[in-house]
Amino acid sequence: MFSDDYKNAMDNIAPDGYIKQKVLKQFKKETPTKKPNKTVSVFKAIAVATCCVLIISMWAINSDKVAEIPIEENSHKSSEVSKVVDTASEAKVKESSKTESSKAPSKESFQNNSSEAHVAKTPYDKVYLAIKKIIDTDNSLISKGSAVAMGGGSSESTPTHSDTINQVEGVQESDIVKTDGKYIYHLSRSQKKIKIIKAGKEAELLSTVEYGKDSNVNAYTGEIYLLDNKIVLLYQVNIEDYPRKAVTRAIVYSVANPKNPKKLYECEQSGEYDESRLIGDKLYLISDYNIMVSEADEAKPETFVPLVTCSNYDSTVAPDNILINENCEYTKYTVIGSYSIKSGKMISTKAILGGIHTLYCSTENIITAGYDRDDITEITRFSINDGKIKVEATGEIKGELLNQFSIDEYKGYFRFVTTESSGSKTSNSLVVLNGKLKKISAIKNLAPDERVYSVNFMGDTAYFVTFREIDPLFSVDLSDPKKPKVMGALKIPGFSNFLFPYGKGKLLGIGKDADENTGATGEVKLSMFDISDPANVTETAKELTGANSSEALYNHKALLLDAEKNLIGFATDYNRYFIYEFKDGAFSLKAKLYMMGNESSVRGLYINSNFYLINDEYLAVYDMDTFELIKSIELE
Amino acid sequence: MNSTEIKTKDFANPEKAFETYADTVYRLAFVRTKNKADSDDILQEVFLRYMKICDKMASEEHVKAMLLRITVNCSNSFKSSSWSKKTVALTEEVSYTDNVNDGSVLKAVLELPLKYRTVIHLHYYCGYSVNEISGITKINPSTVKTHLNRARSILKTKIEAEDL
Repeated sequence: MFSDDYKNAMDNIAPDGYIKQKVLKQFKKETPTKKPNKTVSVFKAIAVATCCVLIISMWAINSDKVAEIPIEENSHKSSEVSKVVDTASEAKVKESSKTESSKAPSKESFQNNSSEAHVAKTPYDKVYLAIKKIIDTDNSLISKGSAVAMGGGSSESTPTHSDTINQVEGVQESDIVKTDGKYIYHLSRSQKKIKIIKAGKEAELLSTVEYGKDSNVNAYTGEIYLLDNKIVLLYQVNIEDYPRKAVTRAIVYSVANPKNPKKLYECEQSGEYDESRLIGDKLYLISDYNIMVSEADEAKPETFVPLVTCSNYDSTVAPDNILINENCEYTKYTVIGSYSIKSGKMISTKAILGGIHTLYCSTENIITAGYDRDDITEITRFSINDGKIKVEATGEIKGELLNQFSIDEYKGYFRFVTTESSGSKTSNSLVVLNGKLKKISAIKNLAPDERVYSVNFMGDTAYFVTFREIDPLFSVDLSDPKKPKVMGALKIPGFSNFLFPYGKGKLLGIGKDADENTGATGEVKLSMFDISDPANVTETAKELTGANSSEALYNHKALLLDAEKNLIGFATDYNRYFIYEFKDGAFSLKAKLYMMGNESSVRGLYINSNFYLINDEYLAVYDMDTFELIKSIELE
Repeated sequence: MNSTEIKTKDFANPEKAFETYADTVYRLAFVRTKNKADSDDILQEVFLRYMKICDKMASEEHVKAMLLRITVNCSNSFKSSSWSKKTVALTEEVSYTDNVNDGSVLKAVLELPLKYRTVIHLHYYCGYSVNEISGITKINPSTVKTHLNRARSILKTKIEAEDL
């Protein structure tokens, strides 16, 4: 086993005695003064640190051409499953199956019945066989309105307040803080508590909900949603540390009385917490379940099939709801479960054997993408209708997807921006698939030897940023007008990790600057692009913040963005929180605030005329105009 | 102000943390720099930095994760000095292992690009999950998954193992 060999090898590596003594001595000395932390990472070779902003026109996709995509009725589920398994058995076997271990457990596990004739034991028969195939052989393999929903909720009765950035309007994404304008709900991962705080100048901690007291809660997970006086809490519980065995839990609390939250329902599904979405009152929960191969017993499906536990369901995912990826190569599942927040009941579940890598959710579809080692991404389209999840189509595209923003649904078409690799060479493509996930068109070989760093689809136009890692040369292909083509390209130093629209004709990028000669990345950088003429995109403003790192560079939920209120907020190293506005064609720093307390995720939000900073230990209230500190409370 | 005056919770005490995790920190530093001398320096630097924040630790698990995160940060700035010593480092490492089987597994991992061998180490040696690795390395979970997948497929071309 690799893990055993690797552990053995590692155990032989240790610091010498004299180094240990040296370090122990320094504990006895005075604590040295704080040195500035120079974390400039140097890229491997001489690199021109320019990035290319590509703007793709979706000319081929216009409202005239799009017709209704007919959705075929699914054939009976079990026959579809067996069809996939048969294809898998024809796949190439690369090397001899020397991977069989010689363990001889008494039960029938995956390890010891490779050559015997297989006798069906349970309805999960086909699933079991598929898992065996993954182990035995070495297969080679696997928008509707994409405007980013940001800025506040507001209505006549409720206050104006900020909200988590959602990729798709109407599809909520979870985060560690939520507000309805009256109260702020904050989840502290390190303390395993949800704190309910009355907002306003007289901010006050009203109540605390502790969760997972009796279990081994994974302190890196934990997010909440807010819906109609209810909080939905999602977190992961580690059952075994190594190999990792975990379950994902969803708990719904009523906060109609914020001083006295009440637990309403609880649901659980096998696996580590991956992602979730909330559409209306339907929660879609996604978890990654690793199969404990050594524990699997063919006669007991619960040992190799994910479980879902809810008020109305307590069993393994039904065999008809398990999809087997043709080229799947990992003994894991991705489980998608839908639950009604109003009733606490499970509505529908699907599990994908082989697991997935990225997913995208619109109000009507979930697109999952699984990546295999042949640089192919397997796509599955699930329609979601009031919580009912149904497989509609599968397909594949070359290359890999960066994150959820690399996928988009628009007028029945599905667009993807990918980075393809062949050895150490990379290139980038934009691919369009129809509702049946068949390829309609593609632009390939964009920005060769660069990879995609950020993407934003805006209806008929797509924007993405690539960044070079090695050699300075690149070229951009231009193709035929009848097909999607590159409309403009802009070369600027550094790169953006995320791109978001910022008012009419503008696109904001947040990322890092880089030295043009050495490629060393430097400060956190904001860029404003003028996209009013997609054929002629320019970077109208750039701001080097002086910060080295920020959670907002890799987690879009850590970014506060409100074009209407003209607010761009994010936390950085050294406990700082920056707030910028864009005025007269330039970024201007409105405030640089300092957050006290333990290092934990910081979020900024606004409600009416107050600005709030919150982390696991403190809440600070500021005036939105002057950013004078009004109040600061401890949240223990 | 020396360590005995710092009011730290017992599990966060720097000396205790060092006794428990010196090897863990060293091993991650070694996997990243492939160099014994750099790893020695990083070991020192990590605990120096840790001493400044040890009173803010929330739990034992937090201590370990924090130490590893500092190790990742420290070993970033050491990258440039290690490159020229790449071949020397490999020879140094081979001397650690007498068992040829262990040597080739370690060698295969060390030959991976930095990002890949980091996630492989955190996953297979430290036992961290994708989310936890994301917290330590500050790389988003999707990217961590990509790195793990790619690393595994490269390793599989060099090593026969059923758990890759």
